[in-house]
Amino acid sequence: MSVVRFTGAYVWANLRVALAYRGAFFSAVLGMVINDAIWVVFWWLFFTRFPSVDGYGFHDIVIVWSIGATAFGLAVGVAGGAFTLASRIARGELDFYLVLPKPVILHLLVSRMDPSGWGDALFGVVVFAFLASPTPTDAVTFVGLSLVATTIIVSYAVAINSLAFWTGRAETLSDQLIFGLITFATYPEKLFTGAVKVVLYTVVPAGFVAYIPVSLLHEWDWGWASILLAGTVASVGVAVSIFTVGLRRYQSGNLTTMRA
Amino acid sequence: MNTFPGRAGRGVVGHAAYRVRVIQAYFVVHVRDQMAYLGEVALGGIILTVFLFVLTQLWQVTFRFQGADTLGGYTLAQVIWYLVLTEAFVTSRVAFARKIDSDVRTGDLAYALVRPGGYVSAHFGAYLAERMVRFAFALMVGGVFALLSVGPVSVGPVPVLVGLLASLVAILLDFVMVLGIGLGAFWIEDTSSIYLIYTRVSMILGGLLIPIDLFPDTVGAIARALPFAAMIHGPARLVLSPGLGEVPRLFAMLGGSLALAGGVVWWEYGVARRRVTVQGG
Repeated sequence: MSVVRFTGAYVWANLRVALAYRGAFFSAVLGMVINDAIWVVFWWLFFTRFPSVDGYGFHDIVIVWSIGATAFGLAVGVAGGAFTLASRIARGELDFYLVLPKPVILHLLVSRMDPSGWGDALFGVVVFAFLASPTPTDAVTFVGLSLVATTIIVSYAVAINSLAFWTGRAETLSDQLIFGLITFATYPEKLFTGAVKVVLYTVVPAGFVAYIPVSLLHEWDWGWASILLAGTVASVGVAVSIFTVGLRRYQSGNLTTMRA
Repeated sequence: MNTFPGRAGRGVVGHAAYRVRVIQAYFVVHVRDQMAYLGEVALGGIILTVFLFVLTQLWQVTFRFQGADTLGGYTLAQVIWYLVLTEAFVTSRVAFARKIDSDVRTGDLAYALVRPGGYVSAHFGAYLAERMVRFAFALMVGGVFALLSVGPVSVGPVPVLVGLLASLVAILLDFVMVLGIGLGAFWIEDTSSIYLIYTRVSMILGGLLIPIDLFPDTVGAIARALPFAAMIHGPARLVLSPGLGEVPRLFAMLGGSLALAGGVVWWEYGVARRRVTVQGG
């Protein structure tokens, strides 16, 4: 419970810092909403011309985007530090967090916030509410699945950014892998088969971020729900393990900075 | 070390020649800079390949599911090559509006304005270098991808050359538009969201992911009336078409848009320069 209160307090503080530049904050949020909307317009254009592709329609892609955008938005909005971890490791900037009472990883995750993430989350929720015609049960399921997907995205970001403990520089690689995850997670699962599908449930876990949640929203299945839960626990375990082992190799940059 | 020869000659011709030399000098320096960091450029190829792979899967499934050999006049191979050409244009974009935005907000613009050569010329030379290297690289990576996934398509040498020329004009138009967005920092706090909206709107209405010929009629008509279609769809369509029938309309649209945007940004730059204030230092 104290972890939830701690995270909430950090997010609130980050929000207040971001809102100090009100114009920049709201333009970042609005920009991201428009960015996401443009993608949905692309799919609307596509499905207007081809109403169904292998059983997939506009309604399905709306659900894919609502879960994907909400989860990614929450990930960078609440735990934006996960996405900048590689550069901070490379510059030896973790010293400050090593002496704090809470777990180092938790501090690092919540210490940064990308305001545009709130645009993603807002877009995802609004699109789901207005275009997916949800029942109250659907709405509750959507919230739960979005939180699970958020956990997997943050875990993935931690795992790939932590490679910087070994490689020194991993920003570009981690950015590309995150881009790959987002790209694959926002397209219909039916496009991918064979070895690519295996990759999408392992190295780039788009299957856990989008495909299983979307199928559960369509039709609840305890078997798939269990697989999703197991995948989530595994992804958290892998991320924490990689970070913990990597942290032993960390070398300080001896930076002198003022934190106000 | 590159130096700019002085303002040789007087009048419009002398001044223009001087500007060309400035742009050329910045271009050469920044091409070398790009070559020094070719690894970074090459990593961008991974993103392009992932994106092309996903879109290829989408169009392969679409063609299979529709049971058609052609859609909107395109074969599957032509659609993939079309995507290579449009993606090369879009992924080679240089987000220099961010630099102008930063120059304005931090006050660095005051230093930049007094340097010899001119602020816009310096940015244009650097932009052209980075854009050309990225564009060529994207065409190469995309071309290899398309060859391996769908094989070659038959194209004529003249449409290819005229299409590349149209792409160059489109790249110039893109520079003018992004310059206008960056200079917006004189009036608004942060232009990054405007740049984002510009790139996304041009992406959709330019026909990046779906050829405009496959748009619903009304949306297609709106898209064709805007410059984005001439920048992104137009050159790609031209390269893949057998004749040159679309050339006059395409260049008229590109030229007209360039003249209009150039005029607006010229006026904006003049107003912006008058708003520069120097506060000690």
